[in-house]
Formats: sequence, C-alpha cells, structure tokens
Amino acid sequence: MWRIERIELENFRSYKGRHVVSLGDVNILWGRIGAGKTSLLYAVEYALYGRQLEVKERVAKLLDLINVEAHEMRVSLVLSDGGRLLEIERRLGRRGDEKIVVRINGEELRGREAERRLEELLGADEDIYERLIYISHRTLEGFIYGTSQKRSLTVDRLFGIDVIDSVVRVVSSVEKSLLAKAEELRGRLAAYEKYKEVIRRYGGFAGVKKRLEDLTKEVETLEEREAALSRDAEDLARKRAEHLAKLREHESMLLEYYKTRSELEVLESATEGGTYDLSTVEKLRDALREAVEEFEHVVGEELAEKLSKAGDVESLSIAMMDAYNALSRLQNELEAQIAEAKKLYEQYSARVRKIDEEIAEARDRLRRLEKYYARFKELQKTIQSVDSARASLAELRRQIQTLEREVSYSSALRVVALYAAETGAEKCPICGAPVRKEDLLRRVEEVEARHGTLIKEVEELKERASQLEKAVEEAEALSGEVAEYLAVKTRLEELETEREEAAKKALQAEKSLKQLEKKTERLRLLLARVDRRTISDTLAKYGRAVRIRELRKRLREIEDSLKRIGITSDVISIDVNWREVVEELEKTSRRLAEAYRERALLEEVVREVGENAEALKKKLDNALYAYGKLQEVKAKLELAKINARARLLEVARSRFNEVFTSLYRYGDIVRVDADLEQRRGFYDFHAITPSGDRYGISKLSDGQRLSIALALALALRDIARINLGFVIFDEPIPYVDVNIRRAFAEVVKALASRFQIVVATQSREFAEMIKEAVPNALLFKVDKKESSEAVVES
Amino acid sequence: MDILLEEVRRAFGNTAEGKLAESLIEAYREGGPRGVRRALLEYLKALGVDVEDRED
Repeated sequence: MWRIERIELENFRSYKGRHVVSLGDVNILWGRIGAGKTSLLYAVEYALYGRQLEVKERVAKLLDLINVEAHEMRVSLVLSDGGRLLEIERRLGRRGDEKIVVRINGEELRGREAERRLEELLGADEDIYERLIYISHRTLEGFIYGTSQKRSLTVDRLFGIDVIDSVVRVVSSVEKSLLAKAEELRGRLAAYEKYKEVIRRYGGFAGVKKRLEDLTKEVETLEEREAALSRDAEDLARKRAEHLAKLREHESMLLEYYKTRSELEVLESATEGGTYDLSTVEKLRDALREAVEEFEHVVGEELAEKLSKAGDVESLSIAMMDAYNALSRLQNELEAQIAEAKKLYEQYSARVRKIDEEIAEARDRLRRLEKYYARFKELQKTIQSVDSARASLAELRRQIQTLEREVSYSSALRVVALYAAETGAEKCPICGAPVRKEDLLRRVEEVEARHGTLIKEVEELKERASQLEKAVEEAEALSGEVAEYLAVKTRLEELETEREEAAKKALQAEKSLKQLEKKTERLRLLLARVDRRTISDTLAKYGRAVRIRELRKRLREIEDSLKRIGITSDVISIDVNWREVVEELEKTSRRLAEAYRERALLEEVVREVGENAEALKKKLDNALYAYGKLQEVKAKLELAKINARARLLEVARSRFNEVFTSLYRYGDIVRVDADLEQRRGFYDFHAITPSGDRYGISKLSDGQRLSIALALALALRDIARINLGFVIFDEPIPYVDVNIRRAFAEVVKALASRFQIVVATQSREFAEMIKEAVPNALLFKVDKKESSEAVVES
Repeated sequence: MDILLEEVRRAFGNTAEGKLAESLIEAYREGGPRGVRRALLEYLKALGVDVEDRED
C-alpha cells in the first residue's frame, strides 16, 4: 500500500515559495490555528485527486489554493509501496490552467492518461478518501459525543450513505424552486385571465409585446417633440406678449381672420393650391346638353333648357344631376329594349332554323315518295280511279258469269244432241219432241261453233278482269304513299310560306336591334365621360374654387383692416405661430399622456403575464410533472438508503470486531455487537464483556466509543481494499478531555503497526502525548511568519 | 463494489429516474451539492422546466 514519502509544496496556500516535508511512519504536525497544518494535508488530497474537500463543499475556490502573492502553485507528492515509487506533480495557474505529471517507476504520464493511471494505482476515489482516510474531528465527534441520531449520521458518513441525505437535501431544495416556479406560473396564468381582454385587443401576447416596443419608441419621440414645442411656445409667447393688448382688443376680428385663413388653407390644400379651371364645368354642361338634346324626344325639352339657364352652383348641380339621371334612366330603358329585341330576333331566327329543318325533312320525304306517286299517276291513266275500276271489274265478272253459263248450256246441248244422234233417238230426250239425226248433228255443229266463240270471249274477259284486278290492287297498295305524298307536299308549301314570314320578322328584329345598340352606344360613351362622380367631383371642385375666391377676397379685407389698426402681418404671424405651437403642444401632451397610460398598462401585462397562455400552461404542467418525479426519486432514494445501511452494516460486521480488538486491548470488552434499528434508521452498538454482559454505547467511555468509531472506519477500509496505506487525522478529537486524548494516543500506537499515520493538532500537549505513546514518531512544528513552514522538531 | 449504487439500481429498476438517481449520487461524489444541483437542473431542462440556478 502506498505511503507518503515526501510532500513538496510551492506557493500552495500559506506556503510561499518551495517547501519540502519528508514524512516518517507516524507524523505529528503541531502548530497554532492558521499555521499551515491543514494546508499540508490539503496538499496531499489535491495531489491525489486534483480537488480538495473544502473546494467541493464550496468553502473555497480551487484558485484559492494558490498563494495570494503567486501566479502559479505546484504540489508534488512522492509515495512508495515496497520497491515502487510514485510521484504525482500538479500545477495550477491563476487562469485555471491545470497540469498533471505522474511518474511511476521511471514512466512519465501526463493529462488524462496520468489521471486514469493514478485512479488505478490508488484504488480509492475521492469519496472514500474523504470518508475513510482523511479523518477529522467532524468524523469522530458525532460518534463519541452525539445522540443516537448524530451517531447514526456519523456511521452513515463512514458508510458513504450520507450522500443520499445530501442528494435528497439538494432535491428538496430544487423541489422548493419548482413549487415556487409553479406558483409563479399560476400567478402568471391568473394575470393572463385578468388581462385577457387587453391581450385579445392586441391580437395575442406577441401583439402586446410588439405594441409595447413600438409605444416605447413613440413615447421617446413624443417626449422629444413635447420638449421642442415647449421651447418654441415659450419663445413665441415672449414675442407675442409685446402685442398682447392690441391682440386682445381685436380678438373677434383676429378670430374671423384665423377662421377664414384656416378654411382657405383647408380648401386650397384640397384643390392642390386653390387653382381650378372653371371651363371644365362648362365642358361638362355642354356634353350633357348635347346628349339631352339628342334624346329630347324621350327625356323632354325642359332638361336642356334647365341646363342652359343654370347660373349658380346649386341650380347647375340640380340640372346636371337631373340630366344625368334622365340619361341614365334612358340608357337603362334602351338596354331593356335591346334585350327585348335581341330576344325577339333570337326567337325568329330559331323559328326560321326550325322551319328550315322541317322543310329539309319534308323534301326528303317527298323525294322518297315520288316514285310511288308517279306509278299511281301512271295507273290512274288506265283505271281513271279505283272506284270506277272496281265497277268495271264487277261488270266484267258479271259478263264472264253469263258467258260461262252459256258455255255450259251449249256444252250440255251438244252432249244431249250427240247422244241422241248416236243412239238414233227419234225423240228429244229432254222435251220429247221428235228429232232427226241430221238435225241433231247439224245442231251439234252449230253448238260447237258457238261454243268455241264463247270460250274465247270468256277467256278474253277473264284476261281483262285479271289485268284490271291487278291494277286496282296496285292502286290500292299505293294509296297510302300517295296520300302521304300529297299531305307532305301540302305541308311543304305551308312551311315555305311560314319560313318566309319568320325570316322577314327576324330581319326586322335585327334591324331594330342594331338601331337600339347604336343609340345606346352613343349614350354610353357620353355617360362614360360624365358619370355621377365626375359631375359631383367637378361641381365640388367648382364650388370650392368659388368659395376660395370669396375667402381670399375676405382675407384681404380683414388683413387691410388689421393693418390699419396696427396689427401687421409679422404680429399676426407670431400670434398664428404661437396658437399653432400651443395647439400642437396640447395635442402632443394629450397623446403623450395616452401613450404613458397605455405603456403602463402593457408593461404591467408583460411583467405579470410574461408569455402566452399555452406556453404558461405547458410550463406549469411540466413543473408539476417534474415535481412529482422528484418526489418519487426522493422516496426511492430513502428506500435505497435503508437497504444499503443494512447491507453495509452486514459487510462491516465481518471485519469490525477483529479491528476493534486490535485497537482496544484492555480486555474488558471482548466484542461489540452492531445492529440496526430499522424503524428510526439508528445504529445500535452494544459492548459485550468477558462475562457476557451487554452495555449500550451510552454507557461506554469516550475512549471506548472512539475505538469503536475508528474500528468501524478501518474495517470499511479493509473491505474497500484501497491501496493507500496511510491515515490522516486532522484535529481528530477535542482537546478539553484528557481521557480521550490519552485513548487516542493509544489508538495511534495500535494503528502505527498497520498504517502510516499523520496527525495534525494545535495542542502541544496532545502532540507530546502521541509522541510519548509512539516515541519514534516525527514531531513537526508548523509555524507561519511571512510564510508557513514545517520543521521537524524531534 | 458500490453497495449504495447497487441498492439504488434495485430500488428504481431500469428507469429514467433510476439513471437520474445514479447520476445524482455520482455528481455528489465528484462535485458535491453543486454537482447534484447541476445534474438536476439538466434533468429538469430535459423535462421542459427551466428553474433558475439559485443556490440555497
């Protein structure tokens, strides 16, 4: 384990210049308060860890380690472990620049690499060092003299559990900040509600801020302007005071003068310097009159007359507006007529188009029926008409029947005659009249001759009837098409007549439309030049020009009057300027007062609200959520602390009694039982005597309690397996109690066999007591004159 | 062997708060209360809470 061979300081705290202190196995640093004992001990910790407890606990800043008269300090610590030698050198400059060099058995390391290696070699971090190696009276006092609670805190400190309490304290402090933050945010939200209407008026909180910025600038400008106007007003008031008597005497005339002038200025500024071409009105009047005359058959003659006669602005205005209104109405009427004519024209055109379509269709149909009609006509030439053809056909059929009957008769007669002739009958078989064969045969010849003629006649008639029948049938078949042909033809003629009429009407409508459009266009062009606004503008300008002429005249008259009574233009000018400046000053002051009020309100809103409601709500939610989380962390940390206490005590027990008996060798206590009172988190220590009696810690002597406390620390040291073989006691115990001093000296004696010991004390008596207990101990006298110095005394 | 950290891990489990608790203990060991406060303020900042760095 590493033991300290040498401490080398240069401009470290109270040590000005370079100082070297070589240490032995047991070292006593004795000196008054502030002599430099603790500085030597701090140098060891700074060399090992680059930090130091006092700095960590915010008692001092790291730069305070540099001697007040120096710009840089250096600490070098030489440690040995058997044959190994470890040298740590750290430098710190006023600008905060730190350097580290570690030399281990001839190897030299710097920077981070040096820190890493050092950590490995030491086997103890700064926390362990401060708990178990650097032991001050704060460590032991609470255990020896304190209540159960204080004793527990000391043990917690030795166990390193007090970290939890410290962390919880900081968490609680941050919780307080969080609650304060939440409260502040609630306040801001309440303020937001309070000023909601104001904020809404400015379009949100950003609008309020923007307005406040603008307002601040505006206030600055207004203040400057107010100051300048005040100065001007005072100057002018002084000048005006010389003529005050006269000005007051003729105040009414002056007021009229100012009123006239003011009105004139207003009118002049409105008419671009007061000049106006009066002929513009005449041109307008002529244009209107021309239009009215052109349409006088519609609008009446009296309008043109009124326009011509109008002499003043009012009557001219009325006449012009009447004329314009009449023409406007006319334009509307004409437009209505145009719409009507257009509608009519479109109706007729549509009709013509429709008739054209119907005509085309009728012609198509006629072309299709033409051949049927021609055929019918041809048939008609043969049969005249269907009815007459039918009558002829009936006659023919009747004749055929008659002839056929005759043919039948002659045929029968021939058969009977032939029969009678061939049979040689003497009597007629039919009528019984006497017959002769020759007669019969002749008769047969006659009948046969007649029969042939009859047959021929019948056939001819049948032929004729057949032809006639065919013709009638065809004529009947064609009658439908013929009737359709004739109907279509008639309709076509009607349509052609109708089209002619519709086309004529469409043409008339078109003509009328064109005439109306022409008229309307003329009127439109005219009205475009002289619309209502042009008339009113022109008349307003005209009116103003006339008024300006009158005012100028009146102004000249008043000026002459004023001049006559001794109020010159210079005096008027001073008075006018004074009045203007005073008026402007009042206006500026009023505006400034308004701006102050507005600014005060907005500043209040910005101060109390801070930002928009959504952001405030979100922040409040976040703060409350975070508060909840921290509460949770605290509760669990407490739980971890309780569990860690139990486990650490269990671990410490394994070495504790062994260490205790090595420190406390009087034999009246053979064992100390360490337990945990879970409910309150207190540690209970009971000393066990050789006879088995148990004594609570409150019944033990200070020296016995000291041994227990140190045994606990050393047991933990052993368990932690750290590589540092020294123990530093910085003012370890109070000095008033002789017994505890003696007990401590004995403990040092016992410890000296295992560890290198460094004890710092301001008590000479205590130092000598240790020296007496451990005769080979080195006693250093630490003194400070201009600089601290540690010198071996014995 | 760091029994305290082991118990902290056991109490919190593998949670963001557990990591915070560990970091707070380490911060204390390295930088005392100031280190803890710094670590806490960073945690709060991550939660969207801006607390003034005011030491009691």
